[in-house]
Amino acid sequence: MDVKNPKSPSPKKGILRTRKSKRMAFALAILLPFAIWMLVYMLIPLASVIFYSFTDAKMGYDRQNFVGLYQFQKMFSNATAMISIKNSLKAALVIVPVSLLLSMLTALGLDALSERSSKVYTFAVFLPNIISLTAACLVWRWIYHGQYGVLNFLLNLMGIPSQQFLKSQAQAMYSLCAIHIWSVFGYYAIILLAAIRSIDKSLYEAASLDGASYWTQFFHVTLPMLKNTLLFVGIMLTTSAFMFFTPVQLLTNGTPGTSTYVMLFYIYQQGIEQGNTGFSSAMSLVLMLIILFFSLIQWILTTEREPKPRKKTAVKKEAEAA
Amino acid sequence: MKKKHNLSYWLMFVMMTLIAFVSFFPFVWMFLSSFKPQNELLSMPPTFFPENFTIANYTSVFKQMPFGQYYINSLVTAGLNTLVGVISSSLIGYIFAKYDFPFKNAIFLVVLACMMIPYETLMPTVYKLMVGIKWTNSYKVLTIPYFVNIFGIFLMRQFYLDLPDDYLEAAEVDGCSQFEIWARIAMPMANSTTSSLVIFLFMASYNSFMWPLISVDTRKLFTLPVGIASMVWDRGNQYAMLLAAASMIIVPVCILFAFMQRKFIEGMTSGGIKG
Repeated sequence: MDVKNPKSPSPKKGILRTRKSKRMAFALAILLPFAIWMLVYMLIPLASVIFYSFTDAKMGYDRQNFVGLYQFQKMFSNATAMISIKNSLKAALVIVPVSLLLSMLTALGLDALSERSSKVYTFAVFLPNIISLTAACLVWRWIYHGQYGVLNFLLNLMGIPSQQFLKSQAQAMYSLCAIHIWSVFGYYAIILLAAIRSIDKSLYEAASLDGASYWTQFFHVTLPMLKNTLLFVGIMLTTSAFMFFTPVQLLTNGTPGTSTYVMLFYIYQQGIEQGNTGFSSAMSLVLMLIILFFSLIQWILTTEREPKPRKKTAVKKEAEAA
Repeated sequence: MKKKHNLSYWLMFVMMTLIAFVSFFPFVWMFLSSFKPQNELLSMPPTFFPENFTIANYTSVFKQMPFGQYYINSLVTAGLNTLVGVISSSLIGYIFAKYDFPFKNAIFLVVLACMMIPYETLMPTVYKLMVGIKWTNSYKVLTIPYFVNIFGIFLMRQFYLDLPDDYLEAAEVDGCSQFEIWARIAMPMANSTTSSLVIFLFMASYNSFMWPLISVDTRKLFTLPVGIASMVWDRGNQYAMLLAAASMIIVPVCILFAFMQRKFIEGMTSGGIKG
């Protein structure tokens, strides 16, 4: 980034004399490289995804023909593509509610514990979020090992026979989802914890004066106050569930059978390994629309009941953004 | 705060201990297993502490693949990406917060909208573009895409919006150039936000897997995540060695996190709390 440019023209000479034009020149010198980056790495790829999905574009070829909706037809008649869409939805259906529940419980737990133990436990639950998921997958691969894995050892201790986990059609997807949940729930727990701690304490005092139990307080004070944060967490979780890739790519490669094909993995396989840019773009577009759709649903679900506060927060957010 | 250690407190405590155990156990298991020889690893029932302690797994990681090179690639690219990313986020955020230019709000809205796009879905087309200009398999492709971070811009803009103009105007009157005002006055005041961003950007780049996997296919340019992934595909059954490699990637981060827990959490969740 060429940040020194605005300095070089001598302030005494040239046209850059007035304060306003100096400011303009500085802003431009920063924004120009930024605009180029945005074009190359954001806007052109985004436009290309839309454009290529209506063409037969291939990796490494400059020319492509317009083929209309052919790629979409191909996708919806392709068994593997449909399975990967189904698997992605399945993964999201597992990952989002389980992570949400687990991070809520963890947040409540961390809030209830004394400060010192809370700090230790925070370390433990947040750590999986910080380290490389790729490296963590190696450990999970070993824990899940069908013959020598420690998980099977623990199951055997409890009298349950050994399971195949990643090698089983029925369990592979859930085993991978468990890795994903393990790696993200601590992050959302910390976000929820911050929101819980920012709730006005007098609300709880009033509630306990009225004789409300812990769980009554939770459902009538904590949960309503967390609505916006929960919405935000839900949307982030949904997005991350559809962006589920590393464990699949690293541990199962879509196998056994096609039981762990997910959308992003199939996009990678088609777009990069096979070079079918047209097809992978169509799939990317569908994936983006699915994520958008679920974000909208969550947004509508969590805001419909109280129309008034929604208006207020919407206006506030706009004011913040402006 | 809450000193009443009643039944529900202990229930909470047990639940939390269980959750924390599940979270942390894989790390313990990885680290302990990495010192066991492969034949001890492949035995049932498993030993908890290594009975035949060995560091052979660690040395064979370096013998069997250019692990040192992967390490250097990861640290150099993550370091450079963080440095440039922090400066660019700070400068661009500063411009959006303190300068007026035509269509500013419209442009910022477009930038914000881009934050919503799951970037992974664009990667195949970004890759096609990079193939087109022959940038793949170079350090360029591992660094330049990380030079701008929209979330970072948003975070820094948020900080600079709250910064009073008086300081900046005073500096301008004193004859500071526009760049100096940012470098000497605005940037140092944002220290706390900037350091959160440093952690966020460094971890994002150090851990990133999908883009380096797509864009680079010569061993010389592999970063750690891609390096160990290629190891899983080539030598998948050498569990002991793989665990040693994973330990070498994870343990330094664990130690850093232990010492700078609050800063790390601030950095990683800065997106969440503001959003």
